[in-house]
Amino acid sequence: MLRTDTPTQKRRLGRLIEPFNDRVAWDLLLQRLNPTWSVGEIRARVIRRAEESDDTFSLYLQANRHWPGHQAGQHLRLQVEINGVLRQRVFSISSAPGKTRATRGQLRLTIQRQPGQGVTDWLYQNARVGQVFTLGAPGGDFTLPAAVPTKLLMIAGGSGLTPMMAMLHHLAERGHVGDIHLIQLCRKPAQRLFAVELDALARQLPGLTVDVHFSHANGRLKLESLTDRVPDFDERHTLLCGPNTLMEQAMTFWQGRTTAGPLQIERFAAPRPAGQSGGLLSVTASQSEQMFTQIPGQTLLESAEASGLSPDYGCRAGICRTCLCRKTQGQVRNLITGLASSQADEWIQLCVSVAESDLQLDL
Amino acid sequence: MAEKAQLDPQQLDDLARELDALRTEVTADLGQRDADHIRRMVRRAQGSAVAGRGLLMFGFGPISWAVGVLALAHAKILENMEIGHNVMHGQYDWMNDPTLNSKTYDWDIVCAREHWIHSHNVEHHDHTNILGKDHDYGYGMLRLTPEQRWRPSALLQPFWYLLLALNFQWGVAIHDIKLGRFFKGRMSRQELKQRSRPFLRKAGKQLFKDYVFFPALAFWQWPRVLLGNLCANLIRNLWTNAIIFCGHFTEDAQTFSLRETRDESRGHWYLRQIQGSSNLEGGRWFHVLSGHLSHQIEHHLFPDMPAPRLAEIAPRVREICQRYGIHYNSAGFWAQYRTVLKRIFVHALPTRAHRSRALPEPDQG
Ligand SMILES: Cc1cc2nc3c(=O)[nH]c(=O)nc-3n(C[C@H](O)[C@H](O)[C@H](O)COP(=O)(O)OP(=O)(O)OC[C@H]3O[C@@H](n4cnc5c(N)ncnc54)[C@H](O)[C@@H]3O)c2cc1C
Ligand code: FES
Repeated sequence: MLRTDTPTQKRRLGRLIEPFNDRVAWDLLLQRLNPTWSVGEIRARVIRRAEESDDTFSLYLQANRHWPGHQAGQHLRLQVEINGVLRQRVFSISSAPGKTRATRGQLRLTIQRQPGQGVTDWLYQNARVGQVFTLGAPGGDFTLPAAVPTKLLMIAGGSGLTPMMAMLHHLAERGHVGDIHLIQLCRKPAQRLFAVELDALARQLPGLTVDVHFSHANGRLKLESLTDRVPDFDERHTLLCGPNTLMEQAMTFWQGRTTAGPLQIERFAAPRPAGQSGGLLSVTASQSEQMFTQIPGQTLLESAEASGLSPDYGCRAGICRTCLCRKTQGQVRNLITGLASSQADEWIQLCVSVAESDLQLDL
Repeated sequence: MAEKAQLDPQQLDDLARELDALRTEVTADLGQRDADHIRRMVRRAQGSAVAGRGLLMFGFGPISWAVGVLALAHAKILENMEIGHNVMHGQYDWMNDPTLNSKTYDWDIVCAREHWIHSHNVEHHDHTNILGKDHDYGYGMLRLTPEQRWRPSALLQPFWYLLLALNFQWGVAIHDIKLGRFFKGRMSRQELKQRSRPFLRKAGKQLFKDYVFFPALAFWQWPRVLLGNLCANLIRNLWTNAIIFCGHFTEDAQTFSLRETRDESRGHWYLRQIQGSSNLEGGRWFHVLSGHLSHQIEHHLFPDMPAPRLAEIAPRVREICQRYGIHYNSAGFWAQYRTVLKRIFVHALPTRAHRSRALPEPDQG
């Protein structure tokens, strides 16, 4: 019956039956009984923690029934409370989607601790079995094409392997027989992730070649050498996830090689802006009536946070558009597209933009 | 009555610096325990509301009714004072929690959030106790200082006050509509309609909830629920009114003229906030139930500081005041409230300003 109502009618009805339709209030009540219960929120309990290398660990999660299931390669938003402040970071799911109702909520995240006082550092030190986290719905289009190409090339730098792990497990479960060449980039053998698991996968996937490149011993991976290293390079559909420098180089390389197959990439972080020289640029946040300065080498989102503002954000890498904000004056540059936005009244993504003049934002 | 402190510009700058440093220190220390506090309050208010409404709806006999009323009143007071008021001041915005954010929070009271944010956060907090600018001063109906013009209607003000106290949530709710301007012909009917819309929406929702929806849910017990809700709202009104009047209208709380506050420096602003406010002393439960408005002085210095911190910094603010010779107005609830009532009665008559403080205003005398 409700479905045919117009939004205003729905709102009016909603107002009348308050507080019985107040989700926040119900969640509060339910969570006194069990912290994973909720009327609409996805919440998950840590059921296992495993160390994968000296700075990387996996969290095995059991999500409540609101988890809609994911596709291999997708990511989710994890919310943590650090010293009273709610913070969110996006992580790829490193496990294949569960096939049954019972296994659908079983997830694994593989997280690399970054230097500094960020979320991953906190998780590394504090994540324990039994903890409950709030999650966002799965998202992202870094997934395998519906008709899985018979020849795949996966290039994974460091923790960029996580979405590929989900894909490989998924393909193994489906009995995939196609050719997969995986180039795993790591600095040193001690930092190699999932060595045992990849061995097991190679036994299940007849076409899988695991090709490890240690950059400490052998130097950076030269993309020009890909054509020699990977048989039938041009015939392959490539999936790439790794540090930004590698991604930039790869994009240039693919653009320059017209015969190459399609390239699909996933970014874990916004490109770092080059530190600017010259005077400090100031940004006026008109809604909160505050000013802050564009800190050289940081994005607008980070600069705003550094001065105590808390704009909405999701992925912090230019994917989800949660951080979209109206710029009423000034010029910014988008670090992913490299394009400048100089018109008044344009929407910009704070997490991948830097100021190029004094700004006024609707924030 | 205490005198206004006279500080020179240098002293005012020093005062501002000391108070700013205090704020910076507390801001840097905000963290888990503040978050835990507000979450605990939210749980407590909810538990109390569920218990209260449950007892009213499903209980039998007068005792369960009385306990239900008290529990519901307690829930409403906690929600309005310690949670709603403080969250809407932005005291917990740093937590990044959308359910405790000043931009979105809406409280359990007939006053619409957008009205309150304007009349309270903007007009009252910035223009505290400036006659003619702080519309909370006497709520446009009470004469509390000789500097306000006397009208014969003031003779009845003890009675007006009783009405206001009993219906305080309505007084607060229609405050920002500024009906007075309409009656004086300074606001068009169109504007009045526009201004009243949020109030009417919110009031309808609240009335429906307390006097139709919940009573109806109790079937034949509906009179019990209706009466209980009415009493709980009354208790909340009387309590919040008493606390709020003690904040600014005690005997020693100063008023200011527009002239005095023109080109005010930061130090001067702080000084006015201290001298226009008064504190109440009591136990921990008392501070919580007053939403820590018992620390009105500290709250007015730092409106967006999480409330429990106000109690912690109070001794230091008091010490600073002592050093600068500023009267720190603090006493127990009854001692302060008595002076408020006294003011309401005394200024019902055409009192004149004390000569040394009198302002040359043509319409006096
Ligand atoms: C789609 C997607 C999927 C992801 N999947 C994963 C995953 O599976 N596993 C995983 O570990 N991570 C993943 N990430 C990255 C993750 O979301 C976090 O951004 C990352 O873990 C760092 O978070 P943090 O809070 O610890 O660090 P932050 O404090 O956010 O810092 C981020 C990085 O920037 C550096 N940094 C911060 N400030 C500056 C500065 N001023 N100058 C220079 N450098 C600076 C930090 O050292 C750190 O390396 C993914 C990101 C995206 C967008
Ligand atoms: S936070 Fe996702 S696009 Fe900016």
